[in-house]
Amino acid sequence: MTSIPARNPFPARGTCELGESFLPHARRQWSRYQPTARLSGVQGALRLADDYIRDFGRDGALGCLYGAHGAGKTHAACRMMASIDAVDRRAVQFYLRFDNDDFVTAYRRLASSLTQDALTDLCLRYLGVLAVEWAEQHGSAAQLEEVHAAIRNEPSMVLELFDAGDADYNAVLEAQAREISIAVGDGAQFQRALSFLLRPEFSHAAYDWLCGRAISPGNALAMGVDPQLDDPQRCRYALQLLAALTTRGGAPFVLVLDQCEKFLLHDGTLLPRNSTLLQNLAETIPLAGGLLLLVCNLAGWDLMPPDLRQRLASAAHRLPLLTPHEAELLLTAYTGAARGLFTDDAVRELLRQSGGNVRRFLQLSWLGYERGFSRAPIGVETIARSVPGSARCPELTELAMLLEARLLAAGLVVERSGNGEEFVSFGLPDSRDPQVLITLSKALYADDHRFAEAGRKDGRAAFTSVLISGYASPPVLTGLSRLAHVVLVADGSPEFSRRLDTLVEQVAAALGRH
Amino acid sequence: MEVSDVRYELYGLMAGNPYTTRPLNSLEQELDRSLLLELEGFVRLPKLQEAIEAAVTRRGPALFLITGVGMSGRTSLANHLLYLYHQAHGPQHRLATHRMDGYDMTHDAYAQVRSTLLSLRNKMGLMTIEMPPGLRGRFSELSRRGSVDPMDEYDLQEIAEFLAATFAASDAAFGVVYEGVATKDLITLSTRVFENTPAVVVFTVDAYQHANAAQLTEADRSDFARRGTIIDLPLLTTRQIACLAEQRWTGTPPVPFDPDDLQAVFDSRRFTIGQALRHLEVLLDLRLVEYEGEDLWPTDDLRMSSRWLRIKMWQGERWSRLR
Repeated sequence: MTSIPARNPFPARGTCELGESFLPHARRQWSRYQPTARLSGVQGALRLADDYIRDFGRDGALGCLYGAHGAGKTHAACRMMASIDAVDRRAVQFYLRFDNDDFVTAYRRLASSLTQDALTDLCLRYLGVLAVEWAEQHGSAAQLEEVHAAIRNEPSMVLELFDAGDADYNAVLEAQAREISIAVGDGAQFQRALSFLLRPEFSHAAYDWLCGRAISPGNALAMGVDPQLDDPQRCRYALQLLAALTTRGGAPFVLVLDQCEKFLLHDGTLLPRNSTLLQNLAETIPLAGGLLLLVCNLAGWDLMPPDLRQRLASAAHRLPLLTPHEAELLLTAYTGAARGLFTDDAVRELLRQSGGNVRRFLQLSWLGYERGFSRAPIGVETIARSVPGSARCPELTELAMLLEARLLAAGLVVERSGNGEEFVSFGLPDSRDPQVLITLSKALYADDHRFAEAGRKDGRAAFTSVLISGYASPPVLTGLSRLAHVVLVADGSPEFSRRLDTLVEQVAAALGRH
Repeated sequence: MEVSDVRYELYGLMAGNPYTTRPLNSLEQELDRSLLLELEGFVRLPKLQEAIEAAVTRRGPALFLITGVGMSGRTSLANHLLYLYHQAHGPQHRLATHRMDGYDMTHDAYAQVRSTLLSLRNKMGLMTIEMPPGLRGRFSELSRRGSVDPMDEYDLQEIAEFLAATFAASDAAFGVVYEGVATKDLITLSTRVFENTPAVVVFTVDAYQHANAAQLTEADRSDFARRGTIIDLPLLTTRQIACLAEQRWTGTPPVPFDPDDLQAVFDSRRFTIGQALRHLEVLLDLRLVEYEGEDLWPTDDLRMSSRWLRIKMWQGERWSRLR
């Protein structure tokens, strides 16, 4: 039975919209109202969070989500943060989206999302843990369990512990200095800032300093620190310090760095200094007991230096294209009980036109609903008409004409065969004894017989290629790439057009060698 | 009788527990002067007295640097040095003091010396010492010149000397105590500023390694030793603890702690003077609340036997590890 949602259930822009200040309150709201399908990326991220929480106190964690634009990386990361909130409300979580290669500015934005009260609380909790540990070793507080509970409940109680002489403030600072020097280089200035954070006359200045803002020269002199945290290295230390403070105080620490490609690459080339910095964070945040999740697109992943990729190896999760099954999951997540909003063919068309990209799939679903909600179930024609002209992917016949034209323009002789309905083949120089065989296929949704047909490798052809209109499901793509030299999915983008040119060059080269 | 009723009078202790620990203030509390104990070399008062007298004679500064851990007696000794300096000038003499403790300490040495001088200026008013016009002008300038636009250290020195001369004209002097010095810059700067000033200046440095305690090298120490006296407050030996128990006793003689027994039970760990006093204080209270008799000390049941001491110390350790 078909029941139509009264309002368009899909996001018009198909994006996971959230601000930089993804604070606990915002995260709760987001997770309450944002539908989520258990796609592979989300599952990977949630597994990472589960493992981290399970091993909290023993081990930190490191993860990486990468995939095409619109594959749902940010959404998966946010869902992960929301899941950690649900387990431990005291978790300190930072979400940072890079928009350039400047780490100092990024750190300042990120740190400012932690309020002074929250930072002071972290600092006191950490001191509390150290003080209780000291008291345990020195047998000075008779009711340690009670004291510890009191400090957990009200962190500022630790100051009373010092005043009462039950813990030696200086000895606790000594322990803190040792731990800070392990967590960060240049620990002295950070320790001073933490101490001055607890002194009323300097607390604002200390907070500003830790957030990377400039403080007055007078305050800097008094606190024994430089006027400002202004180099990437020390901003990294500050993050490591926050991680250590939080986890030693007993709360999970999560740092999500989104759009790492914008940080790693400048005009398409890798910035070694920034890749070293990310690598350092990948070592130190887990060491400090925190969870670091790097999120980047395919270009970012491909250009990541080998040692960083190696470090991430088992923790990296590639977000694949939607499978037909996942497309159903996604629609169910948004329409809930309302089933049958789209016909089966319409769903396939959504997949084909979106190329299996989550964001485009949702955008097209939105457009489809807008155009056809009065005549549900929404059929394939409605979807086809909903696609903006510029974004349409070529039909099989269009694709064949496009390829043929390019080959002819390159002066290559080509002979066409195939049924024209589901397949078109180009043999070069002819179909009976081709040296190059290019097979064009309609969209391939599942692992069906047409897949083997499309990938048929002619024993005599030196070079084979498969072009698919719009969409091929991930398992099909994987299988095809084993059979043919070049596999391209035609989505009508300039990127596809460029790849087509490259293919024509490869064909010419293959023919030239024979 | 409540468990917590402690009948000190049974020991003839009219002023309560004699081992109660607090910072002594010899300058202001006459009673405290006798409580600053030498304890067989824990501090060497004659040597300190000598250093002060020499400073007074040459009309120069009496500089002291005290190092030690928490509850090692830094504050009590600093106060006692002020008292000794005051004493060295005779009874009519007046001493203005300026103290900065750990809560006031910052890493800005100039700001702290500047505050010191301005605070002493205010004390002049309170002591009705008249401000010469020349000095007034210098102080106005000092008020204006914060850390961003500091005065030269020799200008500060001139102000300090002018100030001390003005105090001396009214048969007064001043003393400065910097407690929990955060940066050795403060020691370097104030040593320079007060190098020709007849005054007493005491620094206490927490003997800990962290970023808010001045970390003194051997070179720093020998540099200071050329101008002043360094006093390292050690942990007590067991003999010194036995001495402490005896010399602090104000009740009916004899002291209920046997020196040999005390030495035996305190042998496993070392304590600062403050920690040792806390132990003695608690032991005395425990002995009293466990005693249900009416007989006054000396009586066997109020004696701290060796076995009883060992059990109590052991119990203390056990209790503190309960969790």
